[in-house]
Amino acid sequence: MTRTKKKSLTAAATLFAAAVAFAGLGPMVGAEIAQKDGVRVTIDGTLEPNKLPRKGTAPVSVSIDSRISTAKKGELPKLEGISIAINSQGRVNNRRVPLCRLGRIDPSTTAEALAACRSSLIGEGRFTADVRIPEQSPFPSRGKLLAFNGRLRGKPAIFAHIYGTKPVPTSYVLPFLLSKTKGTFGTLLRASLPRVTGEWGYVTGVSLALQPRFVSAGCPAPAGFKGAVFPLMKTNFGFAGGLRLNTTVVRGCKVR
Amino acid sequence: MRVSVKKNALRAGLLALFILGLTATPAFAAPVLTATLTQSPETLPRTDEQIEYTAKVQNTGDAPTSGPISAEIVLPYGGSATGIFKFSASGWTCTQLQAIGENPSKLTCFTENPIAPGAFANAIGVNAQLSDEAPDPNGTTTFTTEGGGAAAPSVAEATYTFTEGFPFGVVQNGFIAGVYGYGRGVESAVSLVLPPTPYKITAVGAETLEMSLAAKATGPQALSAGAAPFSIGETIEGPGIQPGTTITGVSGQKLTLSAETKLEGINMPVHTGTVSGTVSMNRGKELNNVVTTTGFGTMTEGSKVVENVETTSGTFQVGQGIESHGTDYTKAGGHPYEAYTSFGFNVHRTADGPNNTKPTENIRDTVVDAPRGFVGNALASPELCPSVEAVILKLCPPKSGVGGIEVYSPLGTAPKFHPYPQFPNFQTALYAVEPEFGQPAQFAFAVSPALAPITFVPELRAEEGYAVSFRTSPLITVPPLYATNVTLCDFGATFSTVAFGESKYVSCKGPSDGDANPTPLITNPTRCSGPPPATGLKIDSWQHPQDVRTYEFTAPAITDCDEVDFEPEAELKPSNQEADSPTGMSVEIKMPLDGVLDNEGISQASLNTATVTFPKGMSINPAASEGLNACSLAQIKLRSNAPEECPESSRVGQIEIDTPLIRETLTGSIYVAEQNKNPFNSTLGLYMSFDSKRDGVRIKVAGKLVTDPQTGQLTSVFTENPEAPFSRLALNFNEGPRAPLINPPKCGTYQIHAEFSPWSAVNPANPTPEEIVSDDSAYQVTSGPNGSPCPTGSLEPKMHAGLRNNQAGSKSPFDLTLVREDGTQRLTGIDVTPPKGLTAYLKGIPYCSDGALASISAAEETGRAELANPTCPAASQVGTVTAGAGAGPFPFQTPGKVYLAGPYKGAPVSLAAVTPAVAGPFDLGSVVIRNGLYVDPETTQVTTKSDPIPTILHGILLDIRQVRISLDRPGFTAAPTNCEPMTIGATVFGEEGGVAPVSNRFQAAGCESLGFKPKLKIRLFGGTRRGSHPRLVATVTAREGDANIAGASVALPHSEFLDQAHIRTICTRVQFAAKQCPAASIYGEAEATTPLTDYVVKGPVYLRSSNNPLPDLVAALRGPDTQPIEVVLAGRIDSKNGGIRTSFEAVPDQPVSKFVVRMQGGKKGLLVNSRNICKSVNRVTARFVGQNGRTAGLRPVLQNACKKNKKQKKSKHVKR
Repeated sequence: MTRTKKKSLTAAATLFAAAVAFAGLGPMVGAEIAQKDGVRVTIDGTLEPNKLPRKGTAPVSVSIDSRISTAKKGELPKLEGISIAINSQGRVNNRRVPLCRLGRIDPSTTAEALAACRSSLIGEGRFTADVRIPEQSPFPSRGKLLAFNGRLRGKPAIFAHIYGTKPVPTSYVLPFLLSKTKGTFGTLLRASLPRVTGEWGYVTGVSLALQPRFVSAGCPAPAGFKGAVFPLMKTNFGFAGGLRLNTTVVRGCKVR
Repeated sequence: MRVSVKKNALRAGLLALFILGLTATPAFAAPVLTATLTQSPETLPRTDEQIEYTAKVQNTGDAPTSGPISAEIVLPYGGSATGIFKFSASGWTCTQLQAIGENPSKLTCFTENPIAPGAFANAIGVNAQLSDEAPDPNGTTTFTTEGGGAAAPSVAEATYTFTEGFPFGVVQNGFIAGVYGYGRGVESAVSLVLPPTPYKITAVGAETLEMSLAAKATGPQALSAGAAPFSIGETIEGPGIQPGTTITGVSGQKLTLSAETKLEGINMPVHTGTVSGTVSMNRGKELNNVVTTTGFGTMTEGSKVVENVETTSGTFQVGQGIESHGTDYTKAGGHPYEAYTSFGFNVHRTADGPNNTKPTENIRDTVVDAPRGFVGNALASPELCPSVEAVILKLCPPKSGVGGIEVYSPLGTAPKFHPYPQFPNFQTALYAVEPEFGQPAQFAFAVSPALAPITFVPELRAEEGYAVSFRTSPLITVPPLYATNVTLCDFGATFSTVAFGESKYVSCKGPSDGDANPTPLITNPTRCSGPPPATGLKIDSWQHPQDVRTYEFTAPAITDCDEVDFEPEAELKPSNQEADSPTGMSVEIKMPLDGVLDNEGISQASLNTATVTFPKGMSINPAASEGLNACSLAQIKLRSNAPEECPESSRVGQIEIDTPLIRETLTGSIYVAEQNKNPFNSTLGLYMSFDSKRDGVRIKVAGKLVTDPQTGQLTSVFTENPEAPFSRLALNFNEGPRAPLINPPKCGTYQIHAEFSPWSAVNPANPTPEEIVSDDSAYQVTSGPNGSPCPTGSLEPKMHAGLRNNQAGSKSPFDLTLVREDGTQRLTGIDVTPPKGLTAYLKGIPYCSDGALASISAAEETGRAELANPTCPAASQVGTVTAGAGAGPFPFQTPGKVYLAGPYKGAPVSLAAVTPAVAGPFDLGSVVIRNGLYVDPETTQVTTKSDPIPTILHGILLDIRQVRISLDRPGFTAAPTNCEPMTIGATVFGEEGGVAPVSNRFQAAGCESLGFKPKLKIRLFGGTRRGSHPRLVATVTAREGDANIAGASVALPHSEFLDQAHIRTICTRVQFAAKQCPAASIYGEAEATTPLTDYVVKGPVYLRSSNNPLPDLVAALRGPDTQPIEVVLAGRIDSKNGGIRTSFEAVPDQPVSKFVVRMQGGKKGLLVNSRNICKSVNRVTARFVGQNGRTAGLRPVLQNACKKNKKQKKSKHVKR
């Protein structure tokens, strides 16, 4: 039972890795876009390397870059939650990575977080948000994001540790809970943002590059095919007011 | 009635009985006489009343009388005034003896007729006249009878009692002081129109009268006679010549009128009289109708019929008057033929004979009060008698004769039973005599060269509108005066010369007689309204010189006022033609006087009311109040001829009046009347007093100045001016820098509007527009003050403000002077913004309460009391204020006080300037101007906003030119500790809506000498571990005398992060401005301790939206509700070297000894430990900047709740 869960989680992580293989912080060419009511969510990802074994899995480095913007001039709705459903072919190797306790990094500077949980580090990235305080001009808040392997309330989780110094030193951890689902997408990562971003934070982008030691994946190409194209992940961005934007990221791989 | 029988008679009877008894002989019959005496009435007024006695003799014996019987009635000893004047004694032979010396009057009678036993002899009736000269006021009359065979006489007595004394005074009610006209003819025919009631007789008394009257006329028209019954209280018109009868004759004819009169009464003789008159009717010549009368006189109300008949000489009215000289001449402003006065006095019988009388008392002084408006021209007589002595010596030139005197006196042949002689004893001339110094005119006559002459001197009755009175010199007692007639001729008198060169008055001259005087002496009043002119008489006697008796008699009403012209001309001219500058004013009013000086002319109406309305903008000059005093009612002595005693300092102008009636020009002064204590109870009033010492004339007139309460426009009103003509009246109000008026503020042409109303108006107090004469005087204001260009009406105030000592941080008085230059807009308000850091020490100063301020009265005449006893407590005074008011170089300085007061109009504290508007003699109450002190919460810079400065108070333009405020309470104000150049700004508001900013450079000095050494202590409370949200308390202390903190930044160590998630509720700036920050936006609290106040200023600390990336940390400090000063300290939150930094970049320049900030922890804690703070020493990096530019860097240890270790113990502040 436990094994099955692990496999499922591994498969899902593999697909997740495939999905984030498109990721990059530069211009997202060929990224998936979901738009509704003037709100646009752009998801891109990279998978490195993209030649994978047909059978079995190999460590991969996965990057994901998401950006939230408005199609027109207008106010960005407040992002309240992110959920990412990952193809069941991916695998997250969280058990091989030491766990980091949340209390050791929350709050802390990046350096202090690394010092406390360097062995649990599974990725890096950046986090951007607009702080919109009433009667004030919005100002961007950005910080470095470190991803640590952890457990939250007994469940596997990825702690996205964010630290910024502008305009003031602030630190928070965005915990993505890992859970298993059935069907095409076997692994679900969910994060609830309000507690983290506070009353006035409007997330505009999250990027994360997971290390190969945390993610492995294979290329599920059918026999006779050198590569495959498959739904890597389905993302759901929930905004205040009930707006939800869903995106399915489809990527391909080559059989090595 | 009292009856008595003498005891002697009783004794005689008893003796007879005794003898009869002793002898026991048969009864011896004998007569006995018994006397009785009755009197009626028993009481008498103390006057020469009659009393009637009835004496009876009865034989009470038992035998008839035999032989003669005597009866003697002896009146009481009564000197010469008690006597028997009538008796009846049928059957008696009587002898009447009048009193001689000390022997009383008595009546002695004898009869031979016997009286049967029990019978009476014929009664004896005696009518006696009693006098108060009797030494015994309760006189007893004795009746004695004896003889007839009676053994003893019988005596009876009767006693009367006087109840009052003899009155002294005028008895002849026919007294008339009148002005009589001169019949005027026409060329084609001459007419005599009899007056409406030519034969009007009224009887009032206790008896029924019967009267018959017959009248006839000879000449062109015969008149019928008739008779009519005449009863008490009735008035009938004679049946002869009917009222209004017109008799037309031919020129040259003579018309004679006569009327016979008969009057009968019970117990009185029948009296008859004749009225006759002769009228010459001549073409082309004025008709002189003269009627002379003889016989009984008018019986009118107030006289006793019997006495009147007995005592009054012939006076029969044709028209009105004792002796008529023609139709009443009542034409307003005209010149009558003559003025005539006549009066007689009470008389009583003397004891030396029943037909002899003498005046009750001897008249001493007489004053005849001519009616108001009656005008006498002292200069009318072409010649004057050089002196009173010349009158005695009969050396007066004929042209100096102005009338005649008739004197009735008991000297000579006194008619029996007539107290007055029927004809005057003396008829002599009345002369105009060279007046003595101090007299306008003088008239005199002489009764005899051996006696002192009698003079008439006119004088003015100040208490009655300066009407003319004639006062005689004390009259002689010999001969005693019964009555007198005085005639004053208007155009001169005609005399006849009798023996020894004595001139006897004959008649007055007509106006067009060849030798008539060219100028009339008298002029009728020009007022027809109101009661008819009244003539008064005041007399006293030598016996009772202090007992002045007053009588008033009505003269015929004045008529034809609608034919009286009224053409005054006025010219009013300011002395200065510069705008907004002090100016005097000259006023000249001219009246044509042809009618006064022309025998045939009609005088123009006398000026009743003069109203001058000055142009808008011209106002009273408050600067004139400097050194000015007022003249009180007691000093001006209105309605009195006494000289005024007004202080010289109350004089604001001069006055001259030319009149043709006296020799000199009247000159005098214009005084300021005492406020509200003047005849008008007005705020502003003027008195004019002018005189001629040579002529002895002094006139005082009061006028009021009315001001429009909104515009201050000035109107002067002089009403009820003397009813006397003048040719020119000139008023000149003082000129110069303290002139009483201010010109309008701008150049242009201005109109001074004058209105004059005459006494001849139908209702002088309320004349119709048609009766009012208007005259506008235009004048130009051609330049600005001191010859400068015309003012543009701009608002160009100048301000001088500053501390007397500008040493940084020192306590020093603050002065502000605001000056409005002449020619610029008047000030209505000022908002002042002192420089930042100029501080007021409010500590320990109580307020002047709102209630106290509200109780300060703005009512007139309360300002002096406020000056003497200020309403506000002295402890609340923080300064003084002086308002300079008025145009010119010397505005009047009005001192006031400045008090600290409570919140006002949204300001947390205020200043109240209390200025009693007391200027010279004027007290316009107190002006309270509140000045809200609005404190900028972020800079604590104060802006004072004044309530509107009044420009008009009780209708008087204040014209404030200077305002000087000194906040000079020791230690109240202090200089900034910042020496940067600054300004004292003000916004001045003008009357015409102008707004002018003004400023004054200000810079404190010596900042470099101020120290600057603040201290900071900062401590965390609560959890020390990572992720804990500690509570923070930061305390800043500063030394007294140091420069104040201008800015501060405090950077926390890296151990403290901002927990963004705890930033939940933020107060928007809109909410903050509206003081409606949500409670959830409070993240801490702060308090500041300052030596400026008695309390700690404290309040919440909010997160407030800002222009910075993060919300500001804002401490909203506030004083108590009694002084809700607000201070806002806004700190910007950012980071410095990775630490959270809060920077207070604009700290007010105020002394703060201690400032504490307490930030919440826990769920509302903004700070979160990023590490376990107990594991290391964490230091705060702080930097303070002083107002003087000095800085202080501090690195205090961030104290915490950790168990202290050595490192922390050793920590200390480190200068950067």
